[in-house]
Amino acid sequence: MSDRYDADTLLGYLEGDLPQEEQARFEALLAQDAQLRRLVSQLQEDRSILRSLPQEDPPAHLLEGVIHHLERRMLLGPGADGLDHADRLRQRRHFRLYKTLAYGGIAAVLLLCGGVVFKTLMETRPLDEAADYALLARRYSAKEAAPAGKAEAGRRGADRKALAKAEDQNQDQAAGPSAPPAPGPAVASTPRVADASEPVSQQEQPTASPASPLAAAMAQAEVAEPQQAPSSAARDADSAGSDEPSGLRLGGSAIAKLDERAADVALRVDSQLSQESLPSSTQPAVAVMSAAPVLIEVTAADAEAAQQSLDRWARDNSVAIVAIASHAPTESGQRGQTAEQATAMLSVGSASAASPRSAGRRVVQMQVDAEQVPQLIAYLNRQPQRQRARLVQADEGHVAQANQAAEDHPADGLHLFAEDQAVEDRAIAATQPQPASFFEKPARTLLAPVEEGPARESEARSADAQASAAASGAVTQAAQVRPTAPAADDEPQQAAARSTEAVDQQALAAGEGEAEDAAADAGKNAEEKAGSLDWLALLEPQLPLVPTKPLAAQLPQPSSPARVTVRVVILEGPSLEGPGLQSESAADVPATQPESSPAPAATAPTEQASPADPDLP
Amino acid sequence: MTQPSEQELLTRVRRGDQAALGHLLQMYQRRLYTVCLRMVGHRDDAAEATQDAMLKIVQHIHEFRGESELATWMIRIVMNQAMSQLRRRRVRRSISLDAAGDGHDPQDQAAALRQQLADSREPAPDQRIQQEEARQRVHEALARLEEPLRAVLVLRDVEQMDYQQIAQVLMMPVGTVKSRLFRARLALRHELREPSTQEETASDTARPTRSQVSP
Repeated sequence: MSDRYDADTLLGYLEGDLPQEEQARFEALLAQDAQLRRLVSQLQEDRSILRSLPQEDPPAHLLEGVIHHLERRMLLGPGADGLDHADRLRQRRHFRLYKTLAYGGIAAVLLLCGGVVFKTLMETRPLDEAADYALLARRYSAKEAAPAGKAEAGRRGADRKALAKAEDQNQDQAAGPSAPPAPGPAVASTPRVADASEPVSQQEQPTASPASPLAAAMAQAEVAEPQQAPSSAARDADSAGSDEPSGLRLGGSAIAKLDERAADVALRVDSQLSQESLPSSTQPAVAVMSAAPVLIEVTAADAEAAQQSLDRWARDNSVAIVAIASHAPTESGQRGQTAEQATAMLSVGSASAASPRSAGRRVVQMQVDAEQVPQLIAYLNRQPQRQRARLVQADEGHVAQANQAAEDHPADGLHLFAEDQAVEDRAIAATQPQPASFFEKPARTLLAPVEEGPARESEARSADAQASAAASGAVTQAAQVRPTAPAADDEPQQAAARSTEAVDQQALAAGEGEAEDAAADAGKNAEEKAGSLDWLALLEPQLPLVPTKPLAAQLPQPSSPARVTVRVVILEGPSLEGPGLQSESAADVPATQPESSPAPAATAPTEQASPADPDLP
Repeated sequence: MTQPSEQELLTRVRRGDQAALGHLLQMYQRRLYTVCLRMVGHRDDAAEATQDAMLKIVQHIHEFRGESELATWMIRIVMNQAMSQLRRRRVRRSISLDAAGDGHDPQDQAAALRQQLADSREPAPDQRIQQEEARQRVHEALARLEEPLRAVLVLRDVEQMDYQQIAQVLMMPVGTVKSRLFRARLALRHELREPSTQEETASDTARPTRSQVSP
């Protein structure tokens, strides 16, 4: 029934909450509606009855129990019942405090752990990258060693035979009374090898460049301590029965991570280098490695791609700490021993301090324009599988000094500092300190004061020798500079001895059987070589010269004053005696010897050189 | 000696005066017990629930921040305790004066009512009897109501609280209190006049519209 009426109005009337107007209106409605009137009266009656209900007296024991509880609290203290409010508040405060401290501690621990992890990752990443690249190089080498191992074995066998022949011939020439005058053959031998090198390069280049996917690898920074544990590469070399020391030395953690990340790195490096760019992620690794020697080892086929990648940041950062060594598999199927040997030799401190040359290292200090560094590296890369070159950045003072010297001889594009043997020896000895100190104080003794008289004279003589080489068609400037330098220093005996070494080396590398053919090739290429700077022969005439293209033609003229002084370390290793080299150079020896006699002072000691050169592998 | 005021006692309680807490409980015990008895409908249950509520008051008196009246706060505790008591024991008793026996049972609420009626000084005995019967019926009807409706009626008519206080005790909006109070009154009327329910139901067929009543 109540649904017919407004509940609020009805309740308000019952409770007496209606205003006067509404109350009057409702009373008027009540007067008209008997049913409503009866409902209201019943509700009012019920309400009055409810309100008339009296309060009940509680039982006597109701409050007694509560009071007894209160008395107990008064007597025993607030904590008697264990429900004291103050205690609870205190406990809550303590709990909050502990909770806050716990949360704060957890947050601090998390932050600390995060910081440690972040720092660890940031610190170890470059080394990991380097280690990854090193492992990648090793694995790629192992893969490529299998198909090319047989061909390399045959070639090396031919090399040894030719080398034995050359040694016998050299011994006969040195001991025989009818030996030609010393200066003549020494000078003549060098251009013969240089002339013969051109076709060899053309022949060996495809051989050394298998059609394999890009396999670029960067070796890690070498550790100066020779007593450190051998690296993975060293273990590989040992397992292959090699006695060559290994310069691939990694930290224990890096070695442990190699195998774990090898697959990922292999894919990454492939993709990166195939795009001809080194990503920014590798730059920290490079930066770290710049504190120590770096060897970047690639296959010959991939050298160019890798070089293009390296050129970018080498140019941007004016970094000349680049060494690229192309390698080929060896007989044992392992990575070319020369690569490891090169690394070992480049490892500062690992080589013999007493006799740097005995370690098979040749160090020549040069200055090139900064823009020429990539080309120089590319040039080194084109040397087929037999040389490990290394470019090391010098300090700025010496760079300026070298710049000044280079400006005096702008046509060369390159400048040879270590023209004196003693200077070069000191330079080699200077490479013996620890890597840090070595690169912090990069090879001061390497840079001879080129402004001095003897050096300028040597340059002049170098130009003369170049001209004479052009005339003869078989002489490179490089080969002439070195022999003439001792003459300028009034040290004919020493210069002769060095020249003899060079001639002996060429003689060793030459084979009598192929001499005539090689001479014919040399004659064809003589004019092309004339006027060019075979700087590799200049740097180290004792090395079996490899076929090269004129570097001066490849290197642009210095356009930027920014120059870097580089040190090229050429290493001799077991694989240096390639068959093509041996055959071609051997053919040059008899054909070119009678033709060359431009510098008697330099050629004289050539005959005195002993075939038992300790530098020969 | 004048009785200390509620605020003074409360201040002393907050200082840790246990005697002041005893005074407070003594002041409110009857009221609290009455509310509990109206809700529970049984003396023993009401006494137990009231004692438990007082112990809770003792334990939580320091948490009272004065946002409402102390009586409201205490009644809220008592009401919750009574609800818990009802839910625990499912006390659904209806008390009949006729079945109450000789009236000497102190546990019998009907006997208490009779005793109270005997003590009252009403002018006419017949009127007293009628009034007593009406109270009896109301009490029985109140016991049959649903607990939420009963709580509203008890707080409103027995404790004579306003809507705001009821809302604070029952923790519900004022509008809900009003609507629930109206439904409780109708339900009580229905319980009190159960025989006439069918008549009213028949008369409800011709209901006027709400607009006819509402102003």
